Amino acid sequence: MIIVGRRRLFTVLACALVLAVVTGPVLSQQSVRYSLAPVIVSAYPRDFRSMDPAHIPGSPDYQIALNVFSGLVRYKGNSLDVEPDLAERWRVSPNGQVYTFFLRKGVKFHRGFGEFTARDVKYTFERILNPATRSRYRASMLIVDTVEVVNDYTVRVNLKAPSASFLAGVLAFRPGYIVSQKAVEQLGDRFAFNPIGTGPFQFVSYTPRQELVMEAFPEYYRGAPSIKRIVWKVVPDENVAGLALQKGEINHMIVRDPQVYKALQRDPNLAFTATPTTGWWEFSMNTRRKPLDDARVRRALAHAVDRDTFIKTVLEGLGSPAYSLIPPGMIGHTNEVEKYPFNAARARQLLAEAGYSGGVRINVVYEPAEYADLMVTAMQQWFKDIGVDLQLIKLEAGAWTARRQSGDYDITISGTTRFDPDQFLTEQFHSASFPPGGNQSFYAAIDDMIEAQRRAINTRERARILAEIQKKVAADVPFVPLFNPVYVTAYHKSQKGHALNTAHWMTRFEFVKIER
Amino acid sequence: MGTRPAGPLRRGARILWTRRSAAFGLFVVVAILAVAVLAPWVARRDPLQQRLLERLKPPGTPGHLLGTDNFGRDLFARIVYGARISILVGVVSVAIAAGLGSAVGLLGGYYGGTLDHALMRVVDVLMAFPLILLAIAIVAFLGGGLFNLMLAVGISSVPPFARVVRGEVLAQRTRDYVEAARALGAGGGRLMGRHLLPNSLSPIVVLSTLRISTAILTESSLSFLGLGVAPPTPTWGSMAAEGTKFLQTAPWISIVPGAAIMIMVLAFNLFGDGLRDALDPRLKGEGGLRTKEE
Amino acid sequence: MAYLVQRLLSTLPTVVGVVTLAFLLIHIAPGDPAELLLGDYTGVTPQVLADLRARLGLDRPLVVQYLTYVGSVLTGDLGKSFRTNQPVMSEIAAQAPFTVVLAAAGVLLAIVVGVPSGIVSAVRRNSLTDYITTTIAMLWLSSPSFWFGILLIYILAYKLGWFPVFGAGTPGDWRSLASHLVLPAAAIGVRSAALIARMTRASMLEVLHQDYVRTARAKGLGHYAVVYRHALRNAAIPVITIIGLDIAYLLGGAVVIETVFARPGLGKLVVDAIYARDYPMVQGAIMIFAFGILATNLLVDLSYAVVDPRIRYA
Repeated sequence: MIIVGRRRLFTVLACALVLAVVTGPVLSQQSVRYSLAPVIVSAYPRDFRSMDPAHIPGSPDYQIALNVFSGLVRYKGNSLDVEPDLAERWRVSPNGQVYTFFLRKGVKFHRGFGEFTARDVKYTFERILNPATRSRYRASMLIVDTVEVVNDYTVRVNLKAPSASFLAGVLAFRPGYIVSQKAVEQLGDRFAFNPIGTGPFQFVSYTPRQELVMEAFPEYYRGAPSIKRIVWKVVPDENVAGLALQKGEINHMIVRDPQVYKALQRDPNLAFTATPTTGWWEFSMNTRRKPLDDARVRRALAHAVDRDTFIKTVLEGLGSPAYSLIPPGMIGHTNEVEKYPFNAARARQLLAEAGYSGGVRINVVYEPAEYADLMVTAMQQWFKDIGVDLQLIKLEAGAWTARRQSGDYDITISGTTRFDPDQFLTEQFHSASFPPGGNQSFYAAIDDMIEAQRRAINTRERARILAEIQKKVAADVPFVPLFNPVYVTAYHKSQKGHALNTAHWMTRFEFVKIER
Repeated sequence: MGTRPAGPLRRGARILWTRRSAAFGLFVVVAILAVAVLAPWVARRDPLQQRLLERLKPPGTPGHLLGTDNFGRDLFARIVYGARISILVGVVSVAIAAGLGSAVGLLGGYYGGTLDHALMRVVDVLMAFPLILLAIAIVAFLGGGLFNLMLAVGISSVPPFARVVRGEVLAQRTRDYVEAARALGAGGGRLMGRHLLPNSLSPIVVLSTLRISTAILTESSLSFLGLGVAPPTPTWGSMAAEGTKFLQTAPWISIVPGAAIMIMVLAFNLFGDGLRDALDPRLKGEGGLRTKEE
Repeated sequence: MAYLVQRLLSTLPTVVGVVTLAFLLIHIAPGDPAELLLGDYTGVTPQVLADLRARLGLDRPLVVQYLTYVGSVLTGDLGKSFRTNQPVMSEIAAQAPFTVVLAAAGVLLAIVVGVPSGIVSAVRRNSLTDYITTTIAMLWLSSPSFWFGILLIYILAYKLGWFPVFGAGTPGDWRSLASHLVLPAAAIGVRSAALIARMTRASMLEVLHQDYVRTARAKGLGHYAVVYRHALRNAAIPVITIIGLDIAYLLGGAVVIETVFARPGLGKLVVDAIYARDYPMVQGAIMIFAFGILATNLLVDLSYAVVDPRIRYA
């Protein structure tokens, strides 16, 4: 029957067409995993914004800057101690206000921008201090009074007051990355997406919203790195990035979502490095509002929280319980504070004492980022169990910032990562920082202690004051820290040398090699 | 299909197929409605009760017909209660859309002239605004919450209603009975309320059924983008969205709500198609009525 | 030609309306762009904030801002993004092609899959094939696009390995670009495919009974010729209508698909801009979206004339 034949023919032709369209592309796939070329292809959850050390907004950009720039000092191994980097050695004056750095000689900037000298150091710091730059790190640089170029390889930094955290908190961190004066003057605004530094990798290209490429800098003063090329791909959905890693389209990624981690663990070709971070996730209570103005209510809420189960289950073990203001790994940390162990009965008792035995309703305003969703869901159940009705107000980025800055909330959720207490004590616990600043709990009881610890040059003295601060804050409980997150780097097992630093849970690729 | 011309047998079979699928659709819709209304009895467990130690249990675990989710909440209970929210979102947003849209269409179609022009321009603007962006903008700016979500989805569905009603009114306006009523002194309001609107009801009803499915799908996309309803309210959309990261470790968390959405949307579509065939076959093939999704 | 000009002119008020709506929405939203830009900058003083707001032009009355914006748009300047300080136009120009390609691929896939299925379905009406095709079509039509997209990735890209998991592919390498386009196009176009299949089926069923078809067959023309030359032509119009109406959906659906598949494009650009309150970017991107939709509507209307010679525009 010709009719049937024609119809069949048509169907066959259609199938053939579809197959042709499909097989062509299939043959053109590459798998990064199976090649042993010294190339890293990594995934990042959002687009890059600025790699200029004066402006680094957040993690992905920091990850780039970390590998492209060097500072006078850098974090050593997996700690927050510092070791020499661009400065071979340094001297601190007895009054703690004058730092003299003796710089490494023969260090080159990328792309032929010349040799690194003391003038670049002066330029870098003054640039951040300059209000016209509008650097977000200006406040942390304000401790610097003047910078003098003694000679090409010696620079003297005069501080306005002694500072215990100058090396670890400023110089080893983002604002401390030294930029090439010549490059900044030449490139102007474009420097943000064409960074020139002295680090092991140099920037190659950036395709907006897609990828960023770096390659090894052969003249790096510690020797050219083993990895020759790094490609960063923007993948907003961590789930999809995990699938790509398992398939081999990428061979490195940072995992923050516990579920993605759990799925990746089943893959025998992957290796993991887990790092506890000096970060914490917490909820802050507005101490100016009823019923949270009553410390008993706040303590009740603290007792209602079951950290251990939460970490073990919802976080799949990627975290450790946090009880204190200062996380483990950071200077001054102590766990000898009031801990408020999980005890629903005690919580109810405290609420009754405060006069709320009939129940009370409070709200939590938050932005659905990272762990916030998980936390508020758990909190709702915990609070319900002690008679508190928690109302969830979920807002997107812009609206949440506005609400947070207006102070109109009972509880808010936030997560922070810092490397030195100075970087957050003022911002989050000093009365000068009430909203619109970052002091979300309107806490004002430790102002003088904050200032005292900043002035203490002697580390032991500073640690003592910090311990006092932690005890006081835990007793007053303006906020409840829940956990210190553990971030995981997942990568193909052919990569060796991965070691995350607690300070920046990001990879310093100069230490990584690919081998069988 | 051979060389025979289409006979009554063929035509009958076709109507039966359409009727049957429409009947199936209606059946499913009613079943979902029943489940939603009778939720507390159908789902024996509390959809909000978390039992962290019983999380991620697969379907078939004793006590949990469809398993549990990330927080140990019973999935079956959440699906059952989720039906409520899904239906609520669908119905309310379409009611908003139908109300606003019909008003616009009635006024524009009846009065014509500049008013019509202006109103239709507004409708054009709404149509040229990508649906999901409009919904995102409204939810982002007015804040989260169920009502704002329904408002957002509703407003983005106004144009089809406005157009359809206006078309009907334009067609009816020249009819004899309208002339007669006007000759008898009936004013605009009375004409619109008593005659034009009731006669436009069938396309409105058909369109409503079809747009309910759009509303449900839009809600799920908004949930995926993080703009959905705040927890702990279970909606099928947010369950499917959150569940995607469990595909490898606990696939049921996403597959069950996703399948539920599919079935519900399918049912409304089939039912809507059937309604359209039954009420006014001439409407078939007209661009304005076919489902415009998301 | 005159018709073309007239149509173009008549779309202007709509575009103005869209831009105005976008302007209003973004400006009344809570959240100050200047504050968001300064972010964690701990040195924020009221002076710094005021300076930034002045620099961004936010300190002037709303009406003035609006008129200034309209004025600059008329000269072709869409302003500079608050966040990157780069011209909005260049960023949009860099991203828009990806969304256009995605939408086009979706449409292409919808036609390539939908029309034959519809034909097969109509021709083998009420058979098992018909039921199965229709049911599958309806199911696809009914699923949330992100869910469908992730399932596609999981099954076809990961488990079976037939396609890449994410991204847009290597620029310049057409095979890479194509292979990266298949799954996203499927996710975005499958709904249209299902609709087109149903519509093709319905149109063809109507037409296949008509007199002129019977006449043609009586004249002895092959079955094949009858189906394709006469019936398909008639089905074309509703199909084109669907495509036209679907464009707004396709462009909007790009937001979700671009996020899931990690593709660049206008969708994600606009959403990120909304979150960051990047006013010029939001306004510019939405305007381009509107232009895109209206241009497609025009194309659709023009193609009616091509398909059906009886339709003519003066």
